[in-house]
Amino acid sequence: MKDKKSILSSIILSSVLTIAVIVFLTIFAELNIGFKGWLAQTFSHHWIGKSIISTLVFLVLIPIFYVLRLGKISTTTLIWLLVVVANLSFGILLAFFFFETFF
Amino acid sequence: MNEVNIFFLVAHIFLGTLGIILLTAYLLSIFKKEIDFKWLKINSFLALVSFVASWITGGYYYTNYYGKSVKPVILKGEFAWVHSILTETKEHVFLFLPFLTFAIFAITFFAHSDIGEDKKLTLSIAGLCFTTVSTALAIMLLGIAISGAVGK
Amino acid sequence: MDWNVFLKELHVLGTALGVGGSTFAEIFAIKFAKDKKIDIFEHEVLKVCISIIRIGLIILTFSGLGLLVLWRMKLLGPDVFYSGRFLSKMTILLILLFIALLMNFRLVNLKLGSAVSTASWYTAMILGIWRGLDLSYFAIMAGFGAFVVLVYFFLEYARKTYLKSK
Repeated sequence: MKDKKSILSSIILSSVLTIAVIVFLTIFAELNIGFKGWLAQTFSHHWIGKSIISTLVFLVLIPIFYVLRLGKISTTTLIWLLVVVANLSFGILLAFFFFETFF
Repeated sequence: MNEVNIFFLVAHIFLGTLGIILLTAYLLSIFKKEIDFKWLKINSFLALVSFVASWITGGYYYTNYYGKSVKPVILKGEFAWVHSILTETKEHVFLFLPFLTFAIFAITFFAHSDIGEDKKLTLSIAGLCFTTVSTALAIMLLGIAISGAVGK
Repeated sequence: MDWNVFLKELHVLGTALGVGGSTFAEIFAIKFAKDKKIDIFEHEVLKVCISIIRIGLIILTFSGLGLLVLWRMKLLGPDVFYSGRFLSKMTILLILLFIALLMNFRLVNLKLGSAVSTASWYTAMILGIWRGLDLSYFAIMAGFGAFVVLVYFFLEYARKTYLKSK
């Protein structure tokens, strides 16, 4: 039972951080042409690069968080954290591209 | 647009819409008095598969066709901001969906015995499901708006 | 295979199921409320109506998206996709989905919710049929708002009239 809780907590927290990483990669690539170019060269397209990196980050973080035994943190709290981060991240990206276009 | 690109575009749209419908059905089910947990697990798994498949098919269309053939047309027209705001937002926010859906699937798989019993947990899952459905729906609408910017 | 004809037929089917389902849901809800309680049979009838509405919505969604792909391939562009008629139809569809969710979780007054829902279905149908409608988005939405109020009071009148009858 506790093991299941730890696995679940790891997955939810990994999702939170992966979304944050996606936002970081997106904004950093827009502001740093060299990084965007590196992504395009390495992965054939910058978007493919972001997809692969975010998947790898997600998969790597799960065992790391599992080892940290995060079962003590309430699942409900973690889920709400994911909800808040997902919504905020959507807003941040929309706002970023809006400002980048018009300002 | 050749037949291969049409296929990938249609598959992307169909699979994304299927994911939205599956998660909406999930959201409507978790507050019922008698919850069918087997159905919830299958539903959340299929939603995950749908969004991942939509990711792959959409990715093919985007990297092989959109960049070369659609983006220049939009940027030349009076709605250039549609690409620089809407497409850019859509292509990156879409990346959230597989991870949000994986979380829903994992919660259903590992904590199903608490769904319905623990009201606070059930409400948080509903919040996550609603966020995922709204995000996917917003992405669908952005896709429609982007298609609309491509004229003759 | 003429995809345009096939998808239009499906779209009409979805509309028929949705408009029909919502109409009968209203009629049965008014009839069943006469004795101020809903028994198991009446509950099952209303559930069937809701299921028909949901099936109609799913058929509408897929066929509608299919038609949009065909429009995209024909490069119909902003003149069609950003027209007042299309944008208001999309807005009303979103309102319909949102109200359906709120009603499901009893987060909105059911009489108000059902009025918005019924008005949304009929407005979406009218907008789909009225090809030559050349009004702005705001004009159409204002008309929709007025129609919602009209439908609300019509349903209230129907409820009170039926309750008074033998």
